[in-house]
Amino acid sequence: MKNTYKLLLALFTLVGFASCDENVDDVMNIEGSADLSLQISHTFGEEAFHLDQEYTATNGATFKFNELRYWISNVELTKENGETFKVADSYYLIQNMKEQVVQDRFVLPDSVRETVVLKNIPAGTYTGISFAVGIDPMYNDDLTQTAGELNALQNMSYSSWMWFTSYIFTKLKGTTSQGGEEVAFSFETGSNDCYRNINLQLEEPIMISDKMGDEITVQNDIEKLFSDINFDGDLMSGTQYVIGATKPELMMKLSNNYQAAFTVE
Amino acid sequence: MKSQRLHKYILFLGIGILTSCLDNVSPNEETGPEYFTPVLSSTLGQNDFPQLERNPMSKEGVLLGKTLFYDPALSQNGKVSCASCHDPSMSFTDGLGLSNQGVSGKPLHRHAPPLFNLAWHKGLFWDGGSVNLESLVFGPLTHPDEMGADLNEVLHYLRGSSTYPALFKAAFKSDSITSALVGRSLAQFTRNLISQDSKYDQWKRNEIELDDPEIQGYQVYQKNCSSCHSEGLFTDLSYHNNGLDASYPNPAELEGIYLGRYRISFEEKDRGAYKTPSLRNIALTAPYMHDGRFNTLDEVLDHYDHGVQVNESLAPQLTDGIQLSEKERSDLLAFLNTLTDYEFIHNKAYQQ
Repeated sequence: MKNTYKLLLALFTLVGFASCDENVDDVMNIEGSADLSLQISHTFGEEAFHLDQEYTATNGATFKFNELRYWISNVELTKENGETFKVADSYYLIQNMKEQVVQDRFVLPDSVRETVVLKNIPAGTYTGISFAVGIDPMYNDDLTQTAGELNALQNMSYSSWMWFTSYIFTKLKGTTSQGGEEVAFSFETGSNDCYRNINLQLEEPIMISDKMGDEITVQNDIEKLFSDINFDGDLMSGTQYVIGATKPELMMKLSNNYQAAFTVE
Repeated sequence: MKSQRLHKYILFLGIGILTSCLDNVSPNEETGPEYFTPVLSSTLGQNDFPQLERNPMSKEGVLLGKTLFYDPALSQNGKVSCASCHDPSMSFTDGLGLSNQGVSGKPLHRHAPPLFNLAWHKGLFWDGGSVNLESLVFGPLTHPDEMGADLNEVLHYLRGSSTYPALFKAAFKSDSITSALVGRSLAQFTRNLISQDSKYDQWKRNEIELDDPEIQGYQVYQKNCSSCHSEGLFTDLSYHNNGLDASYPNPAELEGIYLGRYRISFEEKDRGAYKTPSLRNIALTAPYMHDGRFNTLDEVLDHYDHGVQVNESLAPQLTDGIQLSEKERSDLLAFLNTLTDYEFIHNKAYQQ
């Protein structure tokens, strides 16, 4: 009879999986899992990050921002015993942007999105998190291979990169004064070479049980994105400072800076 | 025993629930898309047709792609389709140097390339910056000087149409219409455009004979052109600087457009280099070069005769140019004309 119960339990689990409405969360809970929020807290140095606010860097330069957008992907959690759990289809667009007009006519609404919910994390004690900034080649090389939030509609692929198959991994735009007048800057990264993995050890382990989720806060210090970037003639394109597909070395430097900008509290 | 029978019953019940559910999900299961691989002529010099595992060709997928290809409603002003610049009668080109027929009326910076035998191209566009047809199609579709489409509006139009939902369902067994499926079906249609029935192909297959000037022209081709325009596809699918310009302007707003392949590879040898265009259907695809600067094949041959600009990235084969006698030139032109594929340009399967 004990076996019968097991089989019945298995059957109900099966029914849960097979039922046509997608009640996946309930099913997974039987096996012991919960949601985990990953919150990204943006700062400029010690200050909270807001669009349109003026920040002064340690070297005295000032910055004002009007757009910050980037993809994070391939989130993986590490248990205390070293086992890892890869979050399926984890492709998320983090953004803090004002309404903007694209290609002279489409309007993208303003949006702040700094928290992603990682679904169905198995119960356990986790001590580390890793994720990438950018999109891995399997998806980046074919814009019709979609997973998670990936799709070509978000002005984070073509448009200005029309001639180059890649998502735009990161965008950071605003104005800066390097001691003189305010000049616009537009920093973008993209292409497989810009994909960067970030591995973070949590200060305190977090516990996930079937009843309770948890939250991880990761900091991204925007000031660090400017490390070792010289606002000189090489950076100037036309009337603004530009990093983008035509300047691969600067794109690599900026990608490395993204990698170094994330820390965990 | 009793308990075993019970187990069996429960198992059957489980299987029953699973399959009934699957049936509901896809009623089309049995009549799904008919996948196929195009039959190739040996004269293409290719062992097989490269299928993409993640987007295999089906008759229904190609039909949907064709419908989209000829539909001007996808564009911003409802007047420009893919076929506006890729007209089958000109081997899917437009006869213009730099087209101004897009939605904005502004001239483009590159000449519309012909569309055929694309399945073998590892890089697309003149500089090879796009790496597959699936991704490429979003370029011309959304470029403000080409079709200028807002993909969200395109999806809205397709979802509300009386014909498209059934076409998508037949091609992809899917009730949802997404930009990914638009890209995949257009890729299937363009990948299926195969040109392999020119007079040259028939000659190589011993079906017809060429006349003397054509045969002598073939020899001129072999001696002078085949190192880049390799026989078979008549392109090596590689990138070369063929000496059009000595130096290349680089205005910031054009993102390295005049640097050729260099803006993709950042290798010095690729400065001013563009993908070797195929010689197949060349009589139909004037004007010539990535910017359509030469109106006739005679102008092209004049360039190779005495117009080659020497700089550090020049293809080594062209250091001294290519000088042909008058007879060699006329024989070569006779041979190039045998590469016109009338079967291809009149193929109803490729047309509206």
